[in-house]
Amino acid sequence: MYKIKLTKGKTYLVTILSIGFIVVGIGCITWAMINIGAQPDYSVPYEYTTEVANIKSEPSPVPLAIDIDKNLYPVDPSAGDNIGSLTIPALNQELPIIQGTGTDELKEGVGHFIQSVLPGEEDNCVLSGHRDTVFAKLGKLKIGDQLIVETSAGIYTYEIDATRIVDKDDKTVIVPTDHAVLTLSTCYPFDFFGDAPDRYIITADLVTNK
Amino acid sequence: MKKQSKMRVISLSLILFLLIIVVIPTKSIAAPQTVSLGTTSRFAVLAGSTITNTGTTTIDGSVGADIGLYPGTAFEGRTNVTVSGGEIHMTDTNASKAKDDLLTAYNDAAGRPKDVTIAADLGGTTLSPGTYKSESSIQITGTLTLDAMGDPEAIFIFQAGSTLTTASYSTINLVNGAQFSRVFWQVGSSATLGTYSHFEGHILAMESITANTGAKIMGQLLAQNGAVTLDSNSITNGINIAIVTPTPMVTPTVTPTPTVTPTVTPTVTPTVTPTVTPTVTPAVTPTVTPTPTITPTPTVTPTPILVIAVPTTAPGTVTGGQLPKTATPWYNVFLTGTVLTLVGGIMAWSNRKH
Repeated sequence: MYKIKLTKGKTYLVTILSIGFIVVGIGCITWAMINIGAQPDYSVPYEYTTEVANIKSEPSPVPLAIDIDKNLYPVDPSAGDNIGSLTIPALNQELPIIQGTGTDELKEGVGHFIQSVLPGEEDNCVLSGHRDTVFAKLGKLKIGDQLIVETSAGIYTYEIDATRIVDKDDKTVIVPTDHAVLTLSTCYPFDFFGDAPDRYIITADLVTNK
Repeated sequence: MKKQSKMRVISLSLILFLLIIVVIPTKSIAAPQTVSLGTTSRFAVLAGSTITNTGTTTIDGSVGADIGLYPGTAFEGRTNVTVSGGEIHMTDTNASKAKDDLLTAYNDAAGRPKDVTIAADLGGTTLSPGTYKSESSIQITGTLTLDAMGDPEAIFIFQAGSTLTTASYSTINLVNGAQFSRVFWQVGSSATLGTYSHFEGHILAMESITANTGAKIMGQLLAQNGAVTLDSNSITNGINIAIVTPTPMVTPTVTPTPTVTPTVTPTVTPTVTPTVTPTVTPAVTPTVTPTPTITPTPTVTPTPILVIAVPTTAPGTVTGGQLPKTATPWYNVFLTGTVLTLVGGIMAWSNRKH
């Protein structure tokens, strides 16, 4: 008699637990799906315009001294502003650049690290993007590939000169440089599931500006 | 005989003593000293707990446009505050020191002997320099006129036992040389300035200060313990400009050029010299009337406007910046959700079998 009662109680508990698991599980899936869906899709093929093709065909002397005006941007953009676009011909991608690297800004596109100079300026400009959205294919880029940044100040073409993997707390990436450099950073490894203890870094030198 | 003379000496000294007692306070009433603000004078806004701003607020002052907060840390709506000629001191030593000085100034103002006890509402009255006290609250509806009677050094001190409240569109009018930097409002609890009111003087409040929409303040908002709440205000603080006013210094003495330059303080020189030199050579007196240009107010505050906001872009790239987090948690959440659902399903299935 007593035994039957106990198993009955046990059954009841297991039922409650399993229903709870399923509810929480489905909740998590829905929540994740909504958020993944909310991230804009940037796999839209980028139109390879003749303009960019021309830039590419130009011989690019590296490193070169480009006469850069220190004050390219009369007004500082505020966090959340769209400041231009980053075109990666090798990946057929054109990505918006947003001022700031907070959660909200990275949701919108590539984030410009606020405490670095703006694109085209004579120093290290740092752009960051999510490994699971905008920069998902960053690992496919090779040395010599071009990165084209278009902002209110002009069109700047950079050429990748190095890629490396650093720890997430590495302090040698965001540093001043003596010439115009574009640094891209994203989380590493590129797998969508699991932890991301490292960062994938691409550095590129400015080759042309107009 | 001896006893009588002794009595006389005692009575005389007593009279003298009485005279001293009577004369000294009346003398101090006649010319009260200004309340020493110490380092507080640099601050246009000083608060204890929080500073909250809504709308666009501008703060001006040649040297007194600082904003301070101590020991609180929250300054909401900071991006909409435009400060020219000042800095923001958030919970730092400057703010801490200013708060100490504020308490000293508050106690000084509160401790002044009153000249007149005032009615609760000062609206529509004209007051001469002195110390005015209300045991409870002070209200200003309409216009309050403060008449310095030609003395630019005149001091007005108001002591409110509890609150200071100004009605919407109320005004404080300073006449005959009265200056906002010489008007002090010691408020026992909190001060509230009505919408689109015009206020003059330093508010030293024990608790909090609220400036409602569009209130214009010439002076300071200094709250010892509580918060300062701003809403689309304009606050001007600084060294008193009116001290430079005596124009007669310039007009009669303009016989030859040399006398002009020394008397006119550095800020004025650029405007004066070019107009004077060409005409002075033959006949000076009739032509040299450049006085209208010496209205001191506009020339004193040429400080560039800087917008107080968290600097958006550094002049250069920082050294050793923290790499941003660029992995979304959503795929992990998705995976966790799938595992949980599976486990729940298996549990339910095996349970049903039992």
